[in-house]
Amino acid sequence: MNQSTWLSVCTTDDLLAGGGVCVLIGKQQVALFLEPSKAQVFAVSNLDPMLHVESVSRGLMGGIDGQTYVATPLLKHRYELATGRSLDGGDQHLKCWPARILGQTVEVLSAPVCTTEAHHG
Amino acid sequence: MLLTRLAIVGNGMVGHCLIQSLADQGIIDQYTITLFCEEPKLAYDRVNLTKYLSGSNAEDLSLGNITDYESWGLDVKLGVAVEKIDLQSHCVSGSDGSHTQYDKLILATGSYPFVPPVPGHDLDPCFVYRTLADLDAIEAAAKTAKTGVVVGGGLLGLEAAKALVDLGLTTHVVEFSDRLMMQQLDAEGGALLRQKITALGVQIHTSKNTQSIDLQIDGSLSMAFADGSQLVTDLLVFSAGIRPRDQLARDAGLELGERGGITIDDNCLTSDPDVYAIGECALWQGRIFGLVAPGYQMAKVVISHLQNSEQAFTGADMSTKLKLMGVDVASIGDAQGTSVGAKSYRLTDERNGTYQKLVVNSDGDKLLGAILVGDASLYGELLQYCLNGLALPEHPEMLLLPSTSEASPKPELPDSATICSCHNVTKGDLCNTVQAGHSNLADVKAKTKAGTGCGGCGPMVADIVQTAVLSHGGEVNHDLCGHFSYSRQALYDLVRIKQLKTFGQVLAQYGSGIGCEICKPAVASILASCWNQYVLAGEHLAQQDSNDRFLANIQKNGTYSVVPRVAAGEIKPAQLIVLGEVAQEFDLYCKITGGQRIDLLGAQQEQLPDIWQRLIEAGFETGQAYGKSVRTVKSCVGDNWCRYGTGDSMGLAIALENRYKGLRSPHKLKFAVSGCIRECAEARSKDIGVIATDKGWNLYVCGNGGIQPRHADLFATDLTSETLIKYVDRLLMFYIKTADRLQRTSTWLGQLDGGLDYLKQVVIEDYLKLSGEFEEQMQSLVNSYKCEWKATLEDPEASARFKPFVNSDAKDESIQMHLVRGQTSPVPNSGRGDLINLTQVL
Repeated sequence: MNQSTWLSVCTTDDLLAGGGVCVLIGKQQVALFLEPSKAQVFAVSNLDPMLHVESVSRGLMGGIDGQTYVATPLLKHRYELATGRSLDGGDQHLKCWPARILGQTVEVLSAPVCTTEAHHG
Repeated sequence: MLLTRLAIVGNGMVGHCLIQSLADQGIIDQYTITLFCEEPKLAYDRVNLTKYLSGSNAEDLSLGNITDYESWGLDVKLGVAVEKIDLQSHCVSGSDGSHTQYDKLILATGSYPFVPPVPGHDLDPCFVYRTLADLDAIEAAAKTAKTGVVVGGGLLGLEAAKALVDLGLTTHVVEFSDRLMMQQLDAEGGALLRQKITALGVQIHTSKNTQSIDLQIDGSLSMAFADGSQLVTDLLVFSAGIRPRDQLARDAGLELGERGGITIDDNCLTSDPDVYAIGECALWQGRIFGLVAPGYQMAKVVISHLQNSEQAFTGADMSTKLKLMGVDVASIGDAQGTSVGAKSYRLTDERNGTYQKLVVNSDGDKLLGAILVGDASLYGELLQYCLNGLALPEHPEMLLLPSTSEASPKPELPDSATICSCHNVTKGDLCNTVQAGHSNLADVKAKTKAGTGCGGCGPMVADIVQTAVLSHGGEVNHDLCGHFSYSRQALYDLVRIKQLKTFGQVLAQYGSGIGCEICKPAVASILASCWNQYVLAGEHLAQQDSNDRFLANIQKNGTYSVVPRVAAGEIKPAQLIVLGEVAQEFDLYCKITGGQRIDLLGAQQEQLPDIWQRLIEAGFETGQAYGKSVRTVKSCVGDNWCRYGTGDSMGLAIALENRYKGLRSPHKLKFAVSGCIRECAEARSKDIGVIATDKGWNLYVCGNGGIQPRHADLFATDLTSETLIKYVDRLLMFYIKTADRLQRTSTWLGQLDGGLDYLKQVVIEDYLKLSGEFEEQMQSLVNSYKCEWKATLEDPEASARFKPFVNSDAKDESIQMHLVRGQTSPVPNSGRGDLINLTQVL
């Protein structure tokens, strides 16, 4: 049950360098962000934890002090993509999963790296 | 404690300053104040009276505000003149029959225009130029007049002449002495000013001693001069100086000067220890001060004396800088060089039409005075040399030469140097404010009021604040963000000059890192303003803000709104039907917007291409409501239908909207066109507002609505449509070139050095010689316009990006809607509540 597996979710052509797209895994919406250098892909929950709207993949990607983050499209809250933590001092987290690129395939590890999602659910 | 009873007689600019200062200092509640205001309106800005005839209304000029006054507890007697002052019983009798007891009385009765006692001076078409009522009378008479004469070629006379020119009259100025602005200028400066004003179509007659004025049979006036010449005119305005309004004081038995004026001492006290006099009615050491700044100083001296502290009136600097009909004129200190041993340096530049003169002491190390005509940019610097007795450079003439670093070193000012003489703010005050933690120019200005009077010291204030911020270890940072050490303006120039076409190129050459949510949309906007490429092209896509990326406005539940362009709000029935059908088919919420179009809300991302397919087939184009770009041109129905209409506002609005649609800019741009002076389209609340006149169009610029509404400023009058478009082209390109990111035109203008006058110079007079370039750039943007939704539908790859998931054709099931008043609306706090762990999915 808890054994994690790499799931193949889409191809590199589906990604947007320097920006986000969304994949559906079961009922989970996962936002995938690709670094402009295309070296690394990040997988985070598409759910904006403040507004409870599936929208994170539509946010802008940015970098500050070596951290890569997404600014949510609705209210520009910033979350670090690698850890999901808020960069604006908020308590909310984005859930995030390890993700990798194998050849043309984008894979997401089925178990989330951070489960501290501040969520009522 | 019994409150001191103050009676204030007069609510001109100085009387108002007294009240405002009491309130600002938080001491107004120590007094029971009765205010007598003879005019039916509270204080207004008399200095800018001419603006009343060129578009400003009484509201724009007003200074005093009844709501404020009453909230401060004043008993305001509006429209009530004081008839009698009884010094013995401390009682003031008003024209309303009232009797008011005072402990302290302050006379701020101002002055009245001097009318020479020439036979015929009181004929009907003769006016004076002092109050709003005077201007109303002149304006009414000008409707049937063709020519107008101003008697008086001084500062006020030329202001009045400007008013007559604005009213469309052929204007003459008649001056008794041999030159214009005799008080402030020497013969050479006066001659150059005359030449410049004559070139503007005003006829100047100097050395004319008016002997009589006669009414002719056709109602016109014939003026006869001592030299035998004559001049015929339809109306006449006396503006030949002022005289103190001292009759009340005279009747009360207060001491007056030989030639009038209420005698005051250094505390502004009259011969009665409980009566003060301030402003133009007051005579200090035999002098009347006909400027507003000394009056303001007197008001502050009175307050200080009332509060038992010592701040004496020590005279005032009468230096002036002004723009007369577009001509810069400034006069400082002993401009005529009458001091013993005074020597002068003069520079006449006939090519550029400027005259500059320095008056120095016999040793040549102190500046005594100066005259500047045609270019007054040295005013601030020279004034500091003069007021603070700063040592002049070894070769003072170098100050007059075009500035190079070694030619004109900036004087090092002492902290005591007065920078803003309107509000008496010193350099020390500014530096202390910076030291107290205000590092932003706007904050410092708000805190000290420096630069908020005549504005002449604006550049110097900015300079001092910037230096102070730097010297306190602060940084004046105009960087766009952490990734670009350039301002938006600098990046715009780099993009244009270096022909950079993508964010990647700009970042690689001038930035660092991967960019962020600030620089990405800002650079994307600059690129669009320069090259107008399709914003969803691969290399631009990741930089677009969410709204631009999906060419729609994101709503709180993640759905989008769709706003097709309805130029000027004109829409055919068939198009209305299509909008209704589309809304019904896609279950969209409908709302009419403030910009006269129709908003369809609640579209899911993947529905957008299908919705637009239908709309484009019906002839619609994108309304670009999602972009920082031109939104709508609002319009009234205009003279095609309206019985009051004087211009075809619909025609012009549609032309403007179609010309500028798609234009991306630092912030959104809103336009409006009204077909007559009733202004039903609310043009003066827009970035670009146009109002029809019977001769063409008046152009207003840089207004906005919102929480801090700002009326657009009158920019040019009676334009043809062609000239109007030319000006709008230039102004918008100048804004796009120089504004900060997300800076509306109103704040941009507010921060533009030189303000509206400078903007006019750039746009109308082509001061920067960039007009041609601006027009070409705009034309190229107009020519390359393409509806972004049309382009998107033509590109299958672009359309495919609207699917919510790249790995599935499923819909986003998380969006929940319900009915509100019969239409689809978001469920409050909708979105997914329960998240499923991926491991559980498996």
